Amino acid sequence: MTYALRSFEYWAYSYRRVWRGSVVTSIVGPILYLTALGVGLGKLVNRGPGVGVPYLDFVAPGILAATAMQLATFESSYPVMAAIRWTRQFHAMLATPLRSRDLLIGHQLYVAARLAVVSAIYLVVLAGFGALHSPWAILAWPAAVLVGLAHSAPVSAFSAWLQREEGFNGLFRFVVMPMFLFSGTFFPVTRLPHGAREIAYATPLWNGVDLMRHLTLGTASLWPSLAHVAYLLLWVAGGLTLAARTYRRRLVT
Amino acid sequence: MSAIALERATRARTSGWRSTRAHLLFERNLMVYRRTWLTIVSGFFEPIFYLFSLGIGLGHFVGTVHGVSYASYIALRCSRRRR
Repeated sequence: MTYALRSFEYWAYSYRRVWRGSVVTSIVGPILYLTALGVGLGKLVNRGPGVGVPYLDFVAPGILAATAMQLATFESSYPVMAAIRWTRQFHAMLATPLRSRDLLIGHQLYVAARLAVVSAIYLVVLAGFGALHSPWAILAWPAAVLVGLAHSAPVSAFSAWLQREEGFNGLFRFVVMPMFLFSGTFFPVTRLPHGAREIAYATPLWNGVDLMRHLTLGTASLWPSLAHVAYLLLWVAGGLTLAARTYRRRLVT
Repeated sequence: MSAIALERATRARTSGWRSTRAHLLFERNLMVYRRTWLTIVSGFFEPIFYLFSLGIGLGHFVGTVHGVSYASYIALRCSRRRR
């Protein structure tokens, strides 16, 4: 574990040089989204058939979960391939007492830290917009980190397995974007036709969105929430197991 | 002739508009494109996904905007922006 912290230190150290830009985007991002969708489009939705609650309150946790998903997916895609193929940072680390598992855990810890900072900022902005309706909303913070890790762990396995960077286009275009658009982030999945709806229920993003939406609206109940958490943990564990294997195969053998 | 002079002479001869070597760069870009065309062609799906998600999915909860369905409203906006 201490070796994994050394690997974490590398990522944190290089992030110290670029943190300003990412802090600005993580403040401006939610403000723009909530103004355009929550306030602007929300006016039309609330005037029309509507989604049952004010649209701003509906879409705010969806945007938080989707942002956690996108940030985590990105951080485990190109940076992992770069550390394997371009800067070869992982190979440099393996020339020290660190082992491939330490590289994986250290990097995922770094992704978790990024998620914690970004989602904390998001939650403050959400509170400013008046989109949080329960003290339980504070639990949306660790939930956002969990949602992120449920994506970054399997994606890091994919990135370590991938031979050419063109594969990321397929990942972002045919997995990440459809998930972003159809996992209950902008409208309830009950609107989807059968077949598509079942796929949406199986995505970790929908489970995260539903968990966080009930937390911020103050309608969360214990067992469904625990089921979502357990399902997301399953994705983290499965992703890490797979990633440990692909890292070892790609870097060691 | 020194290397620098040769370089200058070549550049002087090829700096005119007609003697441009843009076709070499074009050829290079074409070769890169042979590997990435799938990425560009698959971009076709992106507006479709958006239209389905926001237009049809969310549109149901919006109802009509300026007398047309929300899907037609944003489809119109997208195509106008493209032009």
